[in-house]
Amino acid sequence: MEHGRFWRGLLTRGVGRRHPSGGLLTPPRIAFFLIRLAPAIIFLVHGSLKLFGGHHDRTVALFLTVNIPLAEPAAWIVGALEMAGGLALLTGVLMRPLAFLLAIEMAVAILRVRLPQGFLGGWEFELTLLLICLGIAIRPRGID
Amino acid sequence: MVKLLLAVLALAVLAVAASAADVTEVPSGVSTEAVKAFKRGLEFHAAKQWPQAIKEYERAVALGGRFPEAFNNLAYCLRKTGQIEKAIELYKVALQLRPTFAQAHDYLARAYLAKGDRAAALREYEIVRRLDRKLAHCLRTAIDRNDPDYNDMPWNTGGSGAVSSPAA
Repeated sequence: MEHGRFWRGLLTRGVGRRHPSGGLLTPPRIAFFLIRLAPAIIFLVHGSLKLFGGHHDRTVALFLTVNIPLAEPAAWIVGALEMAGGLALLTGVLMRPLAFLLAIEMAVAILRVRLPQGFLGGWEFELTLLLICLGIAIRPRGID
Repeated sequence: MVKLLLAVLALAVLAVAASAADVTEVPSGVSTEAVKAFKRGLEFHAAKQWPQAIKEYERAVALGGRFPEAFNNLAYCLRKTGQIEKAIELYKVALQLRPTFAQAHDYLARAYLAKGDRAAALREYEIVRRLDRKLAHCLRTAIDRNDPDYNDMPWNTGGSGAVSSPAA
């Protein structure tokens, strides 16, 4: 019983927080969860590839190419941010600050890497993630 | 219901991770005409007929827009005809379009070496080392020998069959 409640809470509003409107699987919460799910999956996959999936060297090469300072530690930090951010978006824990950091990361990716590649097939994807994460970070109270 | 959703989510993450690991280098949004010109350029390129190859690659660049392979190969041919500065600029364009383009980094390092800038060549080597170890090995030998042309067409000489060829 308690176990099921924990997972329902995780799905709808994050760990350890009570929602003022009561219900768990209400349509607004499910809708917001689905919106969070898209960037959550993307950041979890990309973060895990950077940390454990053999994309670390590729990320360092990218950072060296676009002159990101301290490329080696920066690649670890970005991988960790994407993993933590993906988990935050999935669970609702620390969702606002991590979504804001992910939005900043996407802004840097657009400005330093994607702009010369154009919008189509270039920075459209990062822009989508930036706007979703920014929207989640600055959403009004009561939407969780 | 919740368990089912989480199971689907886990499967989705695994599937996306598996597909993301299989990265291809096919340019998107490049016109058919540009690809045809590029392939004609490749034939001249393999035959080391640089002026003809340059002409075809320039056509591919003009028609193709964001076509990193065409910029890369055009720069290579320009380097072979002694136009080092112009080649470096074009390698940089190729790398703006695809920053993890190992071969463009390799060729840029060789262009820096031809220019006499060994430090810049080593910086590029550090990037190639992280992208393609076999290519990096060839490049390191070229830098150590101070010979930018050493094994710089490994895909065409049989020197190292595992090294990737210019994309077609």
